[in-house]
Amino acid sequence: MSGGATGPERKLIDTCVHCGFCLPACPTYQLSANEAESPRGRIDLMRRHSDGAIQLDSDFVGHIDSCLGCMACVKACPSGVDYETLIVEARSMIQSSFRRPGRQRLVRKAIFAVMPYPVRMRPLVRLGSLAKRLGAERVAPRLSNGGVAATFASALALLPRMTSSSAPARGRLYAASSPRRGTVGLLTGCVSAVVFGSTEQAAVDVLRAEGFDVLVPAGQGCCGALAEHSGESPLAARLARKLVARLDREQVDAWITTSAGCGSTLKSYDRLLPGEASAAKFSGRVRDIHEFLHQQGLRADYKPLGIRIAYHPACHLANAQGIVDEPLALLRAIPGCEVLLPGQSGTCCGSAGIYNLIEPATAEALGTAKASAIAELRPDVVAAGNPGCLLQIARYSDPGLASAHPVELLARSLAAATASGEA
Amino acid sequence: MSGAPNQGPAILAPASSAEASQMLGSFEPGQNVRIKGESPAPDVGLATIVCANLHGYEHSPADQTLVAAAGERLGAIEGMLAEHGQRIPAFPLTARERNMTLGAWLASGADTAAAQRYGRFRESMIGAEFILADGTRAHSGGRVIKNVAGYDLAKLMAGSLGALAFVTAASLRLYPLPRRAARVTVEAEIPRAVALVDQAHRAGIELATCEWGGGQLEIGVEGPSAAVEAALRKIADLLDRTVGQLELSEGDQGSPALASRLAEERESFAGTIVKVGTRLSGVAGLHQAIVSRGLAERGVRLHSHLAVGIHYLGVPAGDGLDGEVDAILRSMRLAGQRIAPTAPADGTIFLGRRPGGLATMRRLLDSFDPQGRLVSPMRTSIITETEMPG
Amino acid sequence: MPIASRSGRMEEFKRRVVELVPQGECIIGDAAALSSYGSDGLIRFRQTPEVVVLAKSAGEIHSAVKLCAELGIPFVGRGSGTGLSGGAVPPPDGVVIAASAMKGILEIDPVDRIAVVEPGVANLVVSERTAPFGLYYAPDPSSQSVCSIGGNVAENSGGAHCLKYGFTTNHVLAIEVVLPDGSVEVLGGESPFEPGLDLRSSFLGSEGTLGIVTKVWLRLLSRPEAVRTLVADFDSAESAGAAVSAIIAAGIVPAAIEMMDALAIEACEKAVGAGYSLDAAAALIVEVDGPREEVDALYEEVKSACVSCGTTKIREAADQAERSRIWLGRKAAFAAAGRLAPAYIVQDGVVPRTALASILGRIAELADDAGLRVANVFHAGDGNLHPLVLYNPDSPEESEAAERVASEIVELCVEIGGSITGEHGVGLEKACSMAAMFDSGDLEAMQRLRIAFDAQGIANPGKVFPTPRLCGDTPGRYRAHPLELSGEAIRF
Repeated sequence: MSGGATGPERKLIDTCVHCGFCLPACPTYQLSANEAESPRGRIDLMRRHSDGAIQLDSDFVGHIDSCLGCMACVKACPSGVDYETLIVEARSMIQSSFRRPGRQRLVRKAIFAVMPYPVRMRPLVRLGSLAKRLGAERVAPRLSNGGVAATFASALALLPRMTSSSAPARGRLYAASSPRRGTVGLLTGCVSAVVFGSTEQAAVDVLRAEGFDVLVPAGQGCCGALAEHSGESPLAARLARKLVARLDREQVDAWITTSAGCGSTLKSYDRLLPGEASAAKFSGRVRDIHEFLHQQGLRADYKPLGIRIAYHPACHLANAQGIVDEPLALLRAIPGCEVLLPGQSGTCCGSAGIYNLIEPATAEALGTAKASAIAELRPDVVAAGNPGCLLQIARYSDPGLASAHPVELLARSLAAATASGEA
Repeated sequence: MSGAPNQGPAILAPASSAEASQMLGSFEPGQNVRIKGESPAPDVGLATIVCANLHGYEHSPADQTLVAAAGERLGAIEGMLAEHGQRIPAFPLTARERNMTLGAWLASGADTAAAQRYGRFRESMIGAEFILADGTRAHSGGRVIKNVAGYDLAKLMAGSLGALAFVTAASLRLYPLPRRAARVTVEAEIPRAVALVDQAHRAGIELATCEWGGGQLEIGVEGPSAAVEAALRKIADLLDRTVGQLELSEGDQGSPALASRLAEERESFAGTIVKVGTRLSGVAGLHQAIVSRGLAERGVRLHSHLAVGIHYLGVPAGDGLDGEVDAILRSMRLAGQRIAPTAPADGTIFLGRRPGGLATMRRLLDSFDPQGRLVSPMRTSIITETEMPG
Repeated sequence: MPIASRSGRMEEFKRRVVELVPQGECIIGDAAALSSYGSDGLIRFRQTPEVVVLAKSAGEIHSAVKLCAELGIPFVGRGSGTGLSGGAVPPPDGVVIAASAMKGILEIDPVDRIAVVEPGVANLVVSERTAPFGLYYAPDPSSQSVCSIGGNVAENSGGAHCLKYGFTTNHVLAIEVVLPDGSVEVLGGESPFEPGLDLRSSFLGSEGTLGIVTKVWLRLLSRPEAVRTLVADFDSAESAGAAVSAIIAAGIVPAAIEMMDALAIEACEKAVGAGYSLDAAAALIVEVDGPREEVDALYEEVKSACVSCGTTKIREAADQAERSRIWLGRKAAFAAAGRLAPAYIVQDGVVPRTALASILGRIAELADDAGLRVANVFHAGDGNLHPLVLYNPDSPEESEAAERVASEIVELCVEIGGSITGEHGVGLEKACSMAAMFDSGDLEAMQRLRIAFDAQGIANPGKVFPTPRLCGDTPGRYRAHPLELSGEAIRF
């Protein structure tokens, strides 16, 4: 890849004609109305930097940092600008050439020292959840006005009160429970593996019921998405290479992910590892679970649930992967469900990878707005295809609102008693 | 040339822009002139420049545009365009209006029932050629219907009562004559008339004209025959009648009968005509105030291009009615303008709330005509209002 | 007390504006952000402002302008920054006063059919918010999802549907403005009739040179009962042009008639996949709207006009979704040109609509001579052309040739009785071309208007009017036509 110390390629920058069609799509511009907080503004900053007209200083970095990476602008752009590559490469340039203030550096270091590694993440999450039950949340914000403690407070607020313990066992092949249609592998990821074990279990249940053998390889680790989206390209490339090496020899028809954020990176390892054939081949087999199930067509017997579902289209699903209709179609396949979209459904919830940890103010504004748009629908459950979104929405929603990955609802529907249609 | 500027009061009737420019340019400092459509009765002490001798037009039927010299008469323009199946956005015209020059018509800022469909006449002015008080020749806009080059001074000339410049030609957007036009008259006092307009809007009826006066509402619809038919059915539904029961009339030019009658009534009205704009629903309050204060009984009349919110108050002369109408307008925050007679005793044509931008209007007069050569009730009124305290 | 040095005054401005504007966070001073306010939608022009005031209220705009007036500091108002003539490029040593955060809809009256909005509201938002009442705001610039009502007022914006419905000036009842001397006035009224001189009309389309709009009263229309849209393909631009004339000659005023040539079709198709025919030499999008029976009758006539002029294929929009897709393609046309070439100039000129086919031929000749490609998108119904001159910015020769072709095209428009701009405005880009359309008397009359609003000349200086600094000491002089000199023709 280019980027690195030099920043995005000039040719890529110049595909932006500054028309401004991205402005209404961009959550940070909608909040701030500041040109520099918009996609074309950020691209213009990259252009000006490449011209040598502005410095790589903390102001510049601040405007690039504030991007959620939600890619809503990509959908709005009539010129087909590859904003994802631009922002990733600008961030990569910042990480390699800009010395952040000590506190920021520490925060990022802490995040990337823990998050990609389930082994480190798991005990911390357990501890955090326990602390939360004991009321630490009320104390944490007072600890500090910034830095690591503030990040800790943000992270704490996101944690569910109970961690999930029902993740499928690693290193096993779960056999299809219906006439067999193929073999898939489940990508278990890092954060998701710790906090969202139940989603993984649901994915296994649904895939089996749909006639797939499901392989859950052990020792997968992080896919590198969080690191890539934050400009930590070398780290991301390292993680990606490791994952590909680990999974390269497994014989599966498709690799399934339940995380939209991971999916968009998993599908573009050729950008992270250019020229590495095994990486491109791996990426070519990655499918988001909604995409996969919809492509294959549902055959299992889904029973009525009788609930109102608010569906939040995760940015990395809808914008980065163009998976818009599939999740809705799957949810609507559950008899007796009402599936609703909140107002401004295309706007990011503010989760955006590690964004809610490093830009808490913007994340809070977006999270609050999203939660209230969802609350207006008076749903029984909010569904989203990305774990980060679910944590973020839950944080700003009424504690009584249940949240679930769509595949969990499918699994519940499968398990529901035929007659009662319990909710 | 009918007179020389240096020899005291005279009628100047230039036959070309160049001549007009030269006439105005050769005025001595301190000499005043007023702009008119045509020669008035001799008026001692004031030179008058008239546009009646400025002739010529260029009609581009396929482009639906007309450039006409200011001396062309509206009736002649109307007739010429009708032969091409086109019209200017001003109808119905009274006999007096047909005989008016385009220049005088523009300067007056007059409205007709056509405002409902096409907006005020100014909306269709796509260019103007004019001479400033010092003889400077200028134009703005052009002959194409879409054009944003430079300031839109053409629309500024409309309704300026000759206070800014001597308009020598105007460029207009034209419209096809409707294939069929019909109008329905209903007895309806103002509150019901306003409600009917709202219902018509909601029913998807496109009103071509919408006139109110003397307790009657007249709705015009235009278009292909089937569309007119359908609109009439909808109107009948609103009125709980069948189409056959409608008080209906049709005319090839779509000239609304009530509109003509009301316009003629205004022309022969013995008193002042005050023009005022409101929101659609605002006219109900205005009408209510006139009735409740007993002004209707004392002869104050209301006419209205109802749905566009342009109204006329006929105020009989004498009896202090002017002051009462002024008070009503003020209390309702409505701005009115005397349109006839235009030179009242107290020196201002404005009634009620002062129009916005008076200070800028004053500066504009000073900038366009720094020596104050052009005598106009608009100028007098703006100066009077800006020099009055509060 | 005037402060002698320019930089001293700016320092004072920066110091005092923070006190005047209650929320300090709306002053943008960081170098990176300031740089991003250097251009509007036309990136060829750039000037970094000294300060950006991101106003949250009319009061803040008022305070900022008053301070500019007191210190003699030039300013420019800015909405969404989507203008295409450099109109919102900051004046040198100037201040940007942005209304992008003022997005409130203050009133919607469904009976009187009026919306009162703040200037930062996006055009399309007005229609979205009034849709529940069956109403909409008619002017629809291609950038309507982004561009602000305040910017529309400044530019007197048009759009595809202005053939039938008119321009911004026909739909704005009144505006509250802060004049360059710091005073606030409401121009116009709640009805199209307001006594006095019609300053509203002058302000509309004045491109920020008369002040900043802080509140707008908009006229709303009923959503048409029926809309029908077709795309008609033709094997030549001439026959497409003939179809336009035939439709108009039949006395039909369609809601819109758009024309695209083969290159433009290709660009739009690549960008949004609107389903246009890639093998057509030209295509018309014709839309008829209004009461159902009227639409049905006129739509059939439009179709037969296209057939009699030799259309090779008519695609009829079956439903709203298809109609949206057809328009999505057209509205993305400018930005989509980026798919054809690394750089392009969007030109905006007007000719009498009967001259459309002939100017297309002339544009093709100009392009051939320069060895460039030109894609054409027209609002054909009103003669407004948007040639997109494609070039490679890495080649200085091509860049220069593109600029030359673009300006030759507008000169051609003026030559055949048209205008240098139909909707993008003069701005910085065409200030020097004004002399092709207006002579010294015309420009003087306009200056007299400007002075009445802005005696100090601090509102968006350097725009619209040719200046020696911009255009050299000898801007092109207007040459009178012999017919005009002889009195046989009237000049426009």
